[in-house]
Formats: sequence, structure tokens, C-alpha cells
Amino acid sequence: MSILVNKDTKVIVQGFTGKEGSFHAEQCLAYGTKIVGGVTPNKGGTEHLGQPVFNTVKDAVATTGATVSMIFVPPVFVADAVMEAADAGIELAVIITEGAPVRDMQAAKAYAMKHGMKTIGPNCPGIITAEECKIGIMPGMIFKKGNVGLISKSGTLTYEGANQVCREGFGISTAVGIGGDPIIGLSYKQLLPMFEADPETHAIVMIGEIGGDLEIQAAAYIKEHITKPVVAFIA
Amino acid sequence: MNIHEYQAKQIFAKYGVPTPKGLMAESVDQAVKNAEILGGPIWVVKAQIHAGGRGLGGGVKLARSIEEVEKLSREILGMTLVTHQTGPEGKLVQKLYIEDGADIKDELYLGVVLDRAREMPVIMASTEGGMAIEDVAHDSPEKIIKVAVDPAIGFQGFHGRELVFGLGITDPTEQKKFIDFASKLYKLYMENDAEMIEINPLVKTGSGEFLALDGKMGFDDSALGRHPDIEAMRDISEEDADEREAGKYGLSYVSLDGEIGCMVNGAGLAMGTMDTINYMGGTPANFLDVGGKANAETVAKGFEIILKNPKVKAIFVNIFGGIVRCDRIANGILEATKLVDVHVPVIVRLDGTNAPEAAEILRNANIANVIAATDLADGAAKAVAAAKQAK
Repeated sequence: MSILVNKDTKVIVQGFTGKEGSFHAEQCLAYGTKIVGGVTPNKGGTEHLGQPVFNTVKDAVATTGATVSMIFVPPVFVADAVMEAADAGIELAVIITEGAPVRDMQAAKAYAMKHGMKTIGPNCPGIITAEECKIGIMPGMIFKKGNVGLISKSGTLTYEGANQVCREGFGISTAVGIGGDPIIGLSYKQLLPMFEADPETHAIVMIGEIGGDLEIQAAAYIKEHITKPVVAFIA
Repeated sequence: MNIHEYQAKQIFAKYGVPTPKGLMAESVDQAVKNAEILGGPIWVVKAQIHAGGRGLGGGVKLARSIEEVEKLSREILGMTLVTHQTGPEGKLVQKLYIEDGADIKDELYLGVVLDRAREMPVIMASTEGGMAIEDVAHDSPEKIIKVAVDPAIGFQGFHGRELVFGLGITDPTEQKKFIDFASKLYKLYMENDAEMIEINPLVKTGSGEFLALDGKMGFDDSALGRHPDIEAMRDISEEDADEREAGKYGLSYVSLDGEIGCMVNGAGLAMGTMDTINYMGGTPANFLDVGGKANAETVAKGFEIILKNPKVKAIFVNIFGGIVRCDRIANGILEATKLVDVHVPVIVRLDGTNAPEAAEILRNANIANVIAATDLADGAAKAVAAAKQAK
């Protein structure tokens, strides 16, 4: 068990053939993530990294049965990509791109929620279920399998946190980098109950950052609803 | 990115948001000419700097004659204005705005910002204009009316009614004028990818007109690419020179008061590093995020900027490589020691992608004042010890 993603999760990549998309998709494949294809308009029908390329997310979903999309498109195309994923029935979009305009994200997230699609990010390292599935740009080797769930606003503090947890002899169930932009997808309050319900997770590490009041909301939520131990650090 | 009051008012005018007439001046002569063009009989001479609280700091003054405009312009232009937002060092006034005086009956507050919790813009209004809105929020939060507008439907009549009834505006003509004002402000907020707009005060004149007496705007940096007209309003003299220089190289730099220079990847880890230094009894000299594309050149630049600060007694390089590869940072450190005279101890902690290669590179280079650290706590402790020893 884990949360949101595991070894069977089928993932497509939007912005598959771009420089960043290619590099990180390759790393994810090497980690064992089931990347079953990608989307780059006008490159449909070709192959990239041994996987099929599609013109649209709809085509990719219809052919591969993917439920998760990892988004690497340039900043001004992020909203379009997120809405396309939602429209095509993707269940979770992991948005790595940094620098998406806030107004775009506002519209994209509202549309995603209307379609029941969860989002992570933007401007985040992604999500990883240790030794099963990495969807993002984190260095996979530091996430040893274990029973600690990790939620972090900051990218590099996700790595620092996971590394310290593993050095102390514990390991990670799932780690989620939620990003620190003004508009983000899944946050502490949505992820905490998922970890609470996950039998593989015995404790939770929550890493925050100044800006906004998500951590305050999370603290109130933890007090009310979370029975597992939570260790928190706010940078 | 922030802009000046006179620029915000140019945008307001474009959208039909009423403002007093005014003209920007960069010299006393120009200020006098502007006053003559405006015609008087009352003018306001206003310092143009990117900070609030200008009036209290002596940067906004009323003139009743052209001679007085000249005298006040001479006083204000070139002064270093200290307000609660400038820090103790203040800001040099390089531009003035000469504006028609207004017949003020009531002072209100009107602003638009993003409500992060509701994930939509919120219009904030208050009858307590002319005061810092933070103080109003603290002392009498019930006096702030907040109306969130879902961009999917835009500004509707009911939003306007909530505002005017909340503010106690009862005259139907005035209600109509205020609602029109607010709807235009919302429109320009959205269309220009603004991060915040603040009009404090927004005044009601004796004749029942609403005027933006002040105007403050900030913009979403990520969206500036699609607003070349806004980007053209950038006033680089208002930005910190070191921060700007750092920005050219993709570095994000903020200078602080302490003794330990920090070079870290990622804003969160950079703050965590500063926290750890503080916890170990040291003080950080700066915040520096090298970002995701660090290379030899950017690292060298980082050292150069950090070392410009004479208070720096040691530098702590803390990199957790994800996208950033540690071997590149190690090479950057070597390169930097050739380009820049690094005369203080450099504590280096490189972890993550290609960390063993990085350790090898540094070991082989064998530079005298480069000290290796194994983790964040170890690095911070060594940096604090090195800074103490240097005293």
C-alpha cells in the first residue's frame, strides 16, 4: 500500500519529447515507473524512449489506459495541458513546470476540480512511492522503502527530509512535493487523511514554508483527525 | 514586479478608473511646468518610490502656489525617504508626481488580491481609508469587507451590492459610481495579471465622485512575458542592485545582517539552512538560492556576490542535488576559486545526484580553505565554528 500511486500506476507524460520531459521521463522509466506513452502535438504516431507518442491526451488515454499524467510543458502552456488532461479523464496530474502564471493556474485548477481530477503542483518535485513509482524530478535513490509518509512544500527540503528519515533507519511510504505557488493542487489537508488511511504509513513528516496559511489549517486538521504521529518543520 | 503610483494611475486611466489629474517629473523645473499645466489652485507633490507610508515619512505634501510646488519639489526630490516599508536605510526619491488637489469628503480603502484559501481574487473594501490596512485588519477586522469573485463568472451585480451596502453607501447615484469603479478595478486586475492592487485612500469628493487618490500595483512575474507594456514600466533603480545582478544569473539573493554566507539550492532548503545556522548559534549573511540550473558560472557569480559583503566570515554551500548535479557544483566551486578571491573558509555539503563524483572532484583539487561536511547539521556547525574562529 501507499497513497495515490504505486507500481501498477500507468503514467503518460505531457511535453514528452522536450528536453526536460525526455530527461526526467527516462529517469522515471529507469526507476520502474510504468510510463506508457506521452503527448506531443504533431508527433503522434512516433516513438520516444521506447514508448508511443500521441497528439492528444484523449488518444493517449484511449490507447494506454493511463490514469496519471506528468506535465512538463512550458509555463504558458501549463493551464491548457492541465485542462486537456482533466477533459480526457486523467485522475491525477502531476505538474512539474515552474513559472506558470497564477491566473492560469486558478482557471486550470477550478476546471480540474469540476472534472474530479486531482492535481499536484505546479512548481514541485512530484510524487514518489518508494521503490515502486516515481513521477517527478526527485533523485530516486534517497527514498528507501518504509513507513513514513512525507508531505513538503519545498522541493529540496523533500529530499533533505527523506534523506534524514532514511539515515535514521526508517523509510518512506509515499512522498509528495506539493509546491509553494499561490495556487497549488493537493495540499496537507487532502493528503493527511490519505496517509491516515494508508496501513503502510505509520508516521507522517510534514515540511512547510513561510507564505500562506496552509500549515495553520493543517495543524488544526491534525489535532482533530490524525491519530498517527506527525513531525513538522516549517522553514 | 511593482510599479510607481503614477504608472498605476496610467493603467487606471486606461480602464476609466477615475483619478485626479497628474504628471510625473524628474526635475524641479519639470515639476513647476507640470504644476502650471495642471493649473491649480491646489497641488500635491508626491515622492515616487516603491514603498507605502510615503505621507507619514514626509514624501507627500500639499502646495497652494507655484512657488510652494517649487520649494516642496526641491525638498522632496533627492531626499532619502524612510517609511515603515523602506527599512531604516530608506529610499532615494528620484521621481515626483505633481497632482491636482482633491476636495476630500470621505476616505475609503479598496484593494484586490488573490485569496489563496478560496483560490480566487478577493476585493477588499473599508471605510477606514488612509490607515494601514494591516492595522485595520488587526484592530477592527469587521470594518473590512471581503468579496471574492470567481473568475469563471466575473464581477457581477451582487458583488457590487455587497460592497456598497457593506460600506454604507446609500445614495443610489453614488452606489452606481462605486460599483462601476470596483468592476473596472477587477477587470484591470485580471487583464494585467496583477498580484495586488491597493487604493488607499480612495476618496469621495464633495460632489459625490469617487477618485483613486493613491494607487499601488504589483504583478505576477511569471506572466510579465505576455504584458510587454507592464514590463516596460520596470524601474530598475528601485530594485536592490545585488539582487538584480544575481537575478541575471538565475540566482535569487537577499542580503541579511549576519556573518555566514549561504549558497543553497531551493528556497525551502535555503531557509532551512538559515534556520539551522541560527539554531547552531550563528547568523546568516544572506539568502541565496542557486536554482535548478546551477553551473560553474552561476556558482562563481554567487561567491562574488556573497563576498561583496564585508561581514561574511565563512560561506556554507549546501546543495541537495535533484535536478542540480553535485559534480557541476563541485566544478563550479573550483572554477569560482580561480575567478574570485575566496578569502574565507568555504564549508561544502553536497548530497544527492552525483554526490560521490563531487566529493572526488573536491578531494582531488585539495583547496586549502574548502572544508567538506557530511550533512546539513554538520555543515552548519562547521560554518558557525569557522565564522567564530575568524573573529
